[in-house]
Amino acid sequence: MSSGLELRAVSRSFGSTEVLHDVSLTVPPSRCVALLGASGSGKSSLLRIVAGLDMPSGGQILADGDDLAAVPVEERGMALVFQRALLFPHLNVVDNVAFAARMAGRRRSVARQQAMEFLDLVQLADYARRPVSTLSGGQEQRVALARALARQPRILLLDEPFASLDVQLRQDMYALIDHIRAQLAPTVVVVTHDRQEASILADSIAVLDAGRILQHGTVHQVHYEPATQQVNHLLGGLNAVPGVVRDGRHHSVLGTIAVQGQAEDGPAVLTVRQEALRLVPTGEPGGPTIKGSVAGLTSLGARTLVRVLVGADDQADPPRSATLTVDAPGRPQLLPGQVIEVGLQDPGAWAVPQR
Amino acid sequence: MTAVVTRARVARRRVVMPGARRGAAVHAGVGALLVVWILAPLLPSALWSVAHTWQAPAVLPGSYSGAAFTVLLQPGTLGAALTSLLLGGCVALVATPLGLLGALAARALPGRRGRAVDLILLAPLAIPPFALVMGVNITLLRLHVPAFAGVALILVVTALPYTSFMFRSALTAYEGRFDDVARTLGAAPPQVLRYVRSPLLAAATTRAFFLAFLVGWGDYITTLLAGGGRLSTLPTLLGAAASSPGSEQLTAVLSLGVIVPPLVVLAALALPTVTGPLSRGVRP
Amino acid sequence: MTWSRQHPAGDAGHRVDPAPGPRARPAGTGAARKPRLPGRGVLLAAPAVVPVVLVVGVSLAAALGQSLGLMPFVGEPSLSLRGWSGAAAELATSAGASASIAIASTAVALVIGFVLAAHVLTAPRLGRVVAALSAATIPVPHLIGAGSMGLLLSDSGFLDRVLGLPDGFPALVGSPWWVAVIIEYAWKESAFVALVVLGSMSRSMPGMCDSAATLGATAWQRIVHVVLPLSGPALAVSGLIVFVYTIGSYETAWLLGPISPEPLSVRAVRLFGSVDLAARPEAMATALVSVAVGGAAILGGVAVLRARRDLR
Repeated sequence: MSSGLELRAVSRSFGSTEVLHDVSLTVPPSRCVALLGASGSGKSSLLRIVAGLDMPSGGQILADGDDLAAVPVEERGMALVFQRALLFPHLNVVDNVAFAARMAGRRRSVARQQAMEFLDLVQLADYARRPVSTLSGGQEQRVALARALARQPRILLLDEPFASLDVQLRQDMYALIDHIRAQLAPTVVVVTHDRQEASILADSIAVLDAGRILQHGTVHQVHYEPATQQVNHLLGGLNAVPGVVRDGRHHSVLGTIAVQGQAEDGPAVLTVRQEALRLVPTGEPGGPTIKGSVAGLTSLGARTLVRVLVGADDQADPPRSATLTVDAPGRPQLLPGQVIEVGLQDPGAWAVPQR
Repeated sequence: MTAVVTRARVARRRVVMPGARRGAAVHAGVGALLVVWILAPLLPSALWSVAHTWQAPAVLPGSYSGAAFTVLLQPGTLGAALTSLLLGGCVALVATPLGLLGALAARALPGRRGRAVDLILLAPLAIPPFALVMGVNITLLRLHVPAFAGVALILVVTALPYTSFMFRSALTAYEGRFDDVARTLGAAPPQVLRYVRSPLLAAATTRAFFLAFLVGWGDYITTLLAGGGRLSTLPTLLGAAASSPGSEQLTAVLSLGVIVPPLVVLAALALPTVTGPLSRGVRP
Repeated sequence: MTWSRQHPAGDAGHRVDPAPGPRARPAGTGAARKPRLPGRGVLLAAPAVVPVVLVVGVSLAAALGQSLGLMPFVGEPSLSLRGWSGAAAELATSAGASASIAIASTAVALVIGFVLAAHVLTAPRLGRVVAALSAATIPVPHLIGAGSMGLLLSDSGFLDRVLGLPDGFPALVGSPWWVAVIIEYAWKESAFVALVVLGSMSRSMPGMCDSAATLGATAWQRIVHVVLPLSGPALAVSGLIVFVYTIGSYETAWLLGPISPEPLSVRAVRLFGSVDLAARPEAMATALVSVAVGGAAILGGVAVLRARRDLR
């Protein structure tokens, strides 16, 4: 029952403001794609257009190859879960879930019976007869999810559905989505501003910024092989060292570092993720290391971000120093100014053209 | 009400704080005074209605009986009650849908036009009811509009500010995304109207209907002036009783006759929201 | 408000649209792409707006015409200012009486209404009882309020019997100071004021009171420095409504007020019902003065509210 979704050069303007620009995206059947972007990046607009709640100014939306332009919202066979659960206050829990079946003309008893299966799926069968006003935030969101699933959508759209839940509830919801994907295998498009959420839920991530898709790739690709410096930044990459690429090597204050083979020659920024770096005890034999001094420590709890200053710290232009951030386990016993060595793990460094 | 409840819990928790006991006493004192303020004017009416004998210096009636209520069963009173009921019903039946249309229009019309509709619908509030009737009366007479219809027309105009305001605030609170959710769940526009918008506006409709009914049911001055004495309603009977000396008991009984039925309706309307979840819960 | 933005034609769109076959209909019917059609909105507004405009317009025009002798009940129309100038002094006295009653009633209603609201907001269980009782008096018509107030406050009324003052009971009903009238208005309208204030209180009010308490504010300080300023706009608006309503109210002043001086409403109704048809123009002039006083209060009140809002 799940369909492939394709967006072809979709754009949307409100007056003179263009919120979506030439967005193209393919979601294969039963896959989950996350649209990742900050607020105002146009990700929710895109979802509304896919759902049919808004029309694109240009471009096409296709489901299984059919253009959806002439198909009204209610006939698109999609379901949309919003950040707010938006349960109908005049219906109880089970009748909310049975709504789609009722709209499809099913008898109340049949619709409710079917709804119960989906309430079971989200483990709220005991709450069927409760008024929705008695539910907690997490329960509301689970009912909203059950209501959307009960529509048996060929494409399930999630618009920041867990943003208002606390961390623990969110973990439960991720497990629930996993369960649902294993059971029903719907095609899912989830909009989120949380890269961790996108990574947990999705097979691939489309990074959206200012109405454009900057990169669409696997979770690994967008993290370790960003298309642009902006993607690296949006995905939380903390290292961006300017330099030049020649023959597959990046030259900078860090020295000469091998990067991906297909990197083009010219000015380029070295983006090496903090997770791909490690602190090497001085004198330990092994691969090449970069020497620097500790500039600062930030605790992340179980891990610590260590900022390492490499090169001469003066006011020269172009700067002759760079700061590398290393995500180290535990709490390394380091003092500011202490000289340490930084080693590079696989996957190695990555260079993106400098803008 | 949620706010009040939360607040109540907080206040109870605070009782242990120093000085809180005195504060609570002040609170209770003010509360008691307020209860007296609200109930005191209604108390004599309640006592008079069930008094059998009540001589001047006595604080309480000497003896009690329900005989006074038989007044309500006399044909003249029953007729007046029926006219009041019809008047309230007609006003509510007309003013409620018109209020909804007005509120929808005010919301749909862009900018200044929408505000103009809002202002026009609120305008009757700014005009003293007696002035409204006195001005329009001669026109109604010249057009040979029947007394009942004339009174009902003026009262519909008087009630429109209330009904349109009820719908206006309900529509403002209405979450447009409920429409979106319903559409994505497969509801066609007519189904959205029937299964989502109508039930969500049901509470506002009830409130608007009730208010409009009260305008007709409890009206005195419009009935008196536009009815030209041809229309006898419970309030006109009450007005006559209250303005003539020595008719305390009649005044009291008619007062209760006017205010108790709406209060019963109000309680009946309020009850489902209190017990609703329970009764819904046990239904198979 | 997404709905109104996206459905410029409002609800009508869905109902008025003849629905063609489902597939032929463009996607997102009614949403975003529907052109703005104010014509449809005007049609929607007409059933409610036309009766109001008609009745109010005809009423004001006819009142003016009658006050100037242009629409006599019998006889030939002839322009005359006698309705206005004939008893100008009396008219002014009535206007003064009406305004005084309205000002005093509004002031008392605002004070008691605010105390009611503050009590409901700050008291535990009793507050809910007070709120429910207070709300229950809202549907009581003024006529009944006045009748009952008469039973309570009149000479040898209930209060007289309860107190049993040795020097006799003060004349509250029919007193030249309008005591019973003002008490009745204050009684009815304080419940209204409390309702408006409570309704306008944001849900954050308890939170703000709590944070004020943690900052060291006593219960009294919380009411004066948090609840009172936050209810300012609601008090202003409800005060304006109470004032205008009181100017236009008849029953209470008629039943509980003294024979003279008459407020505008009592004078207008008396002259309107007079067997002397010549009193009609005077009745209409009186009615129009009450409209003018109410209108002036609204314009002034709205101007003050606007200015205050702009200052902030």
